Amino acid sequence: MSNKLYLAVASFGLFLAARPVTAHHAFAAEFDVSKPVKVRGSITKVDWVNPHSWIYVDVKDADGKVTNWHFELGSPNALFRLGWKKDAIPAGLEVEISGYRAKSGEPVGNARSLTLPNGHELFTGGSAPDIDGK
Amino acid sequence: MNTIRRSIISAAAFATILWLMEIPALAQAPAARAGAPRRMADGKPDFNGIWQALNTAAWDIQDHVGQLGVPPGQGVVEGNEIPYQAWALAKKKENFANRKTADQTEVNCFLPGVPRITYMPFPFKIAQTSKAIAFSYEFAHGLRIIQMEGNHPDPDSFPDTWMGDSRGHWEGETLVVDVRNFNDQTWFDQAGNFHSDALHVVERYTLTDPDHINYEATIEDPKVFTRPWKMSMPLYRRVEKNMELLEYECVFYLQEERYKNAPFKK
Amino acid sequence: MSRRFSSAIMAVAVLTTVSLGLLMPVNGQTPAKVATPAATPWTPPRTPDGQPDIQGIYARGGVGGLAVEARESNGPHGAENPLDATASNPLSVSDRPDGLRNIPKGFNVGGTPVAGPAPAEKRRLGLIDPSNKVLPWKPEEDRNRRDFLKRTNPAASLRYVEYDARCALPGLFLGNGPFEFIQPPQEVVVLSEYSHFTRVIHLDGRPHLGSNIRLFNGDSVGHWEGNTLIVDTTNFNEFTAFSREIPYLSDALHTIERLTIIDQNNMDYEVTVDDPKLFTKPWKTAGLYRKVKKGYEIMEYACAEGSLTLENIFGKPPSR
Repeated sequence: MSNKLYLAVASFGLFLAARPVTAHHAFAAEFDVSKPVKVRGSITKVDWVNPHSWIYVDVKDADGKVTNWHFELGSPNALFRLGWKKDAIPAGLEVEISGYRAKSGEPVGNARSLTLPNGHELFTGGSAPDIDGK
Repeated sequence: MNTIRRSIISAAAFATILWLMEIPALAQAPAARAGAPRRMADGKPDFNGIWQALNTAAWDIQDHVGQLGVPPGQGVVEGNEIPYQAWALAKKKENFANRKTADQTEVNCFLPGVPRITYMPFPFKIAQTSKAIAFSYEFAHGLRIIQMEGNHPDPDSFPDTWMGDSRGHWEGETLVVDVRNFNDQTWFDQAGNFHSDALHVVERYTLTDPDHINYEATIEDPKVFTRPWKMSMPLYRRVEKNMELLEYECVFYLQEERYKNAPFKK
Repeated sequence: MSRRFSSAIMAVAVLTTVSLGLLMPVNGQTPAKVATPAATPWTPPRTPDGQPDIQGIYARGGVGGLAVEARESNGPHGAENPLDATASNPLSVSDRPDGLRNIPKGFNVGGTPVAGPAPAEKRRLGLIDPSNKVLPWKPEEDRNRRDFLKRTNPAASLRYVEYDARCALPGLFLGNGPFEFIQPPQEVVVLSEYSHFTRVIHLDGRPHLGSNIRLFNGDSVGHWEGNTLIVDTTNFNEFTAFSREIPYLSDALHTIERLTIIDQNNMDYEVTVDDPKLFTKPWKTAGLYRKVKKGYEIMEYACAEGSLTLENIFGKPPSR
């Protein structure tokens, strides 16, 4: 951790936070931090909307039953400025998403990160807290 | 007396010549109402102020009769014809039939897109300096920043928008605004006239006198129309003293109505 | 693009970065404890109508009690997520008795690349008046607030949903912009990316609107005193929140903001919150506006159009 702090200090004042502030609704009103969830599936749709983008994935369970999950991401403005491009996560792409389940128990979640087929993990800039919490 | 009269005539002639030559430095003083538009310090025509369309285009941009809740109107479309492709004309008719549930601006208070937001029956403000131009609309606090530099973002990587990405430049006295990067969610009016995400709008704002703008919008959408087409209308300055935009927060009002008995589930 | 840091580490690093940036003089010595006058005061250019020219896009750092992303993951309540309302943390976010967040040493201006360094001298940030740093609640109103907050998670009804979450106009305090300042003659116009709203500050000496006109953003009149813009705002409606922990202010709210130019990239910001229905006296909180890097453009932030929040909380409303 100290190495990383020094790196951050060296670039002081000129670039702030990869993680943008979302000043609005409480995560805890809709999602449950005690219910982490991780799914693997194929993207069916991405809604690039404010205040939160949404990603829809078809997830097949052990019995072969398919459930369409949707996950909340960050603002498309933030995602775009983080280097995400619309055409980078097209429908059909197999991804793994980890995050927290909705309090309602529906197949809905708040995504913390998305892992691409090549193993790259993209953070979503959303309001989910970090499981590892360092 | 002769000398005085000659001086007065010379002065008047001189002033007229200056007016005709539109020398910016001397035209900074507020122009008479029925005269040349005011100018900014940089010489550009001054669009600052609050403006409003005074027509029925918000209901229907073409000629239409009156009905309960719909004022009659002559259309704003040049030639009164909208050159839909065959499939799109059918879609327009379907939109019209479903308009009481399908018009997201009227039903949900969503942003109306461009140019519809110009002729919604609400005032809007133009804030202009030599560095920046912004249009602020009273309806749903709409906002369009007219970027005077740079290019439209790449539509494949950049999120679609409700109000488009606007890039402006001057052509003589006219502010020309090129708008792209639209989504396909908005209509041109309550009558179901619509577009795709390929929509391209070119607006032209020209002051005809200090209190009137001649507004033209050329619509191009190769997925929906067979050719470009144009609408035009005057925009009127709201000349009331201390005029300012208020707030029409219909999203909030709708929520109060729709969710007054919430929660709805177990 | 892969990340080498988790977001939490980045956030901590960033806050440290910003705090060091704010505390350190440019030559990198240990943080100054006392503000020293700048060697040469900055003289801003002027607009055609004589205003100090502050035009540009700014990110705003904090204003004390705003939704700052810093989070102590193993904070005073152990492993609990501080966003969860529990018996031990009924206020759901802040553990301060008056509801104001602890202000970290620095401010996160929200992921926006800034144009230049932070000011050389340490700024006043967060709650600056009263000096004991406790909000002067009327005791009964503080009790009302706490009772209110206990019904926000889950939201007992629409009234208990944060205005922010409803895409309501955030008013002066919420929403981190960024903000574009334009100065046409006799006005300062502030454009917010967040929620695409416009604030107009009238400098032409006009009176406030009549008292029956109530606005989310209030009605602002202002004037320049030297390099400080002073803004007086009234006519608020009853739907203004200060922060998650202070979920409503009243329609008696009256604010005075002071924006003071520090240098070509930075402005001090101070707001006096005077709400005689809720507090025994006015209080004051401070923040910082920092100009963003050239080339940064404000994007559209349409909120209601894409929001599923109310449906997710309450379910779909019955159709008519």
